[in-house]
Amino acid sequence: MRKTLSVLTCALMMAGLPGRAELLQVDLSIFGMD
Amino acid sequence: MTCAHVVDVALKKVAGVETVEVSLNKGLATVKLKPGNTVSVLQLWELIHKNGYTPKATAVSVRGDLANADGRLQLKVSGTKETLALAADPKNPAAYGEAPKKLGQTVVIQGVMAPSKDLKAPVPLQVGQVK
Repeated sequence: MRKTLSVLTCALMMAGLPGRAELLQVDLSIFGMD
Repeated sequence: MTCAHVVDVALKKVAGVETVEVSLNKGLATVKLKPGNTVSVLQLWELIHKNGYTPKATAVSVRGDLANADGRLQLKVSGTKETLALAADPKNPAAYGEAPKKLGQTVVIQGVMAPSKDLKAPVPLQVGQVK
């Protein structure tokens, strides 16, 4: 029970961490075959 | 198997990638990423290159903390030393000029990254819009 709670708390903390820099979308221009 | 399919499959194998749309007619691969991913643009450029294509200017949408280091704006990964240097977009320099007002805040920046000859070399994100 305690372990489940700590895992849940950890998951919630990670989900709520502010300021995590992450890519949302990338539009890659790919010019052509080398 | 078409060339577009090869690029499509390679990009989808990257952990953190949600969807991929490749159009060789437009010369464009649109990659949407999952929340919490650790994918970098440099990583995607190298992958494109390995599959026989030359990555060019890349439109990027990225979330992070705005920080100031020696007068230069950066987008910072919380709890790590990882940063993305920011620069003014010649087409819209006002967006970079407005960015310091949001220092310390979590923002979403839309901008452009242009690869250097050495694909592994870090390049700045030219700020087009700060939300």
